[in-house]
Amino acid sequence: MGPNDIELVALAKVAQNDTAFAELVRRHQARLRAFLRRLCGSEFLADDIAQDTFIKAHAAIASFEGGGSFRSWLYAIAYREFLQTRRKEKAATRLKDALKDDVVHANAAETKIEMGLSLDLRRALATLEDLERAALLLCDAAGLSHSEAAIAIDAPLGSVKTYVARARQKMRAALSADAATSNADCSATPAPNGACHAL
Amino acid sequence: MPSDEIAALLKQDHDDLSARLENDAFQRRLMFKLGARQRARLGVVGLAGGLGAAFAASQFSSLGQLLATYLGEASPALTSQATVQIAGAALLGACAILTALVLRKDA
Repeated sequence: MGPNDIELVALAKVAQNDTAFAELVRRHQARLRAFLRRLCGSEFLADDIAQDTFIKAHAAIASFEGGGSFRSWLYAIAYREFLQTRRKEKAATRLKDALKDDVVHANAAETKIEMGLSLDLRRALATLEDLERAALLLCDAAGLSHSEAAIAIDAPLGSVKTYVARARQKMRAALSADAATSNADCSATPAPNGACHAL
Repeated sequence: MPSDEIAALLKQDHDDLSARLENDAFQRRLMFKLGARQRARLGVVGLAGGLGAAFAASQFSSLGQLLATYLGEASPALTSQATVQIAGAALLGACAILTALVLRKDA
């Protein structure tokens, strides 16, 4: 069994060991990027943010004190990077387009690749506030505890629980509305064989 | 749709997406980018070391002269051409190699 995150951080800090940092990147990059992709809805933007996150983490590794997990520290940097990107007007426009593209123009190839999450779910995710979406994805998708999520989004523990509960509620409502719409569409344009085809 | 089902779908999606991202070129690109600063630093220090060595070589003409004599002895064909400049260049090369070795150890 290899060294844990804290040991690797210590190695990266004390010995300025890039191999140790590379191992940390290997362990966390995929899940962090998956989180960011669902958070901002664009794979390119998500990868840019992930790259900036790791570069900042590399530069600031000496400031990691080990109070929480390395994972929550990393996600906190990523979330701050995401918010910063959001604040930039140009990036915000790109993000908006990306989200729109993500929901409306998901092409066939991507749909084929991204079978995991239905269009309805992605649309429902896009309706959430940033904080709610982040809290929901961190707790329900990425598997962070509420305390870790609280560190990551820099919010009190109670607020995180509220965000997650509210996000779930909104998701349920959005998905019910989608289901009702698609049922109405089905009854309006029934297929010849009686099956309901997505339009 | 119950909350548990939504959570399960999100989790499943996250796991699938992570698995797909596990082995792409992201990490390699990132580590290359992180190494760029270190490489630039080595380049600058190496250049400074080389320039310093060149300057030092130009100051020690007597040492160069001595080196030129040795070069001449080692290869008589060079006797007529072995000049202080050649000796200086040899010194410079040696200093550059030494600098590189030190930096390599440092890195």
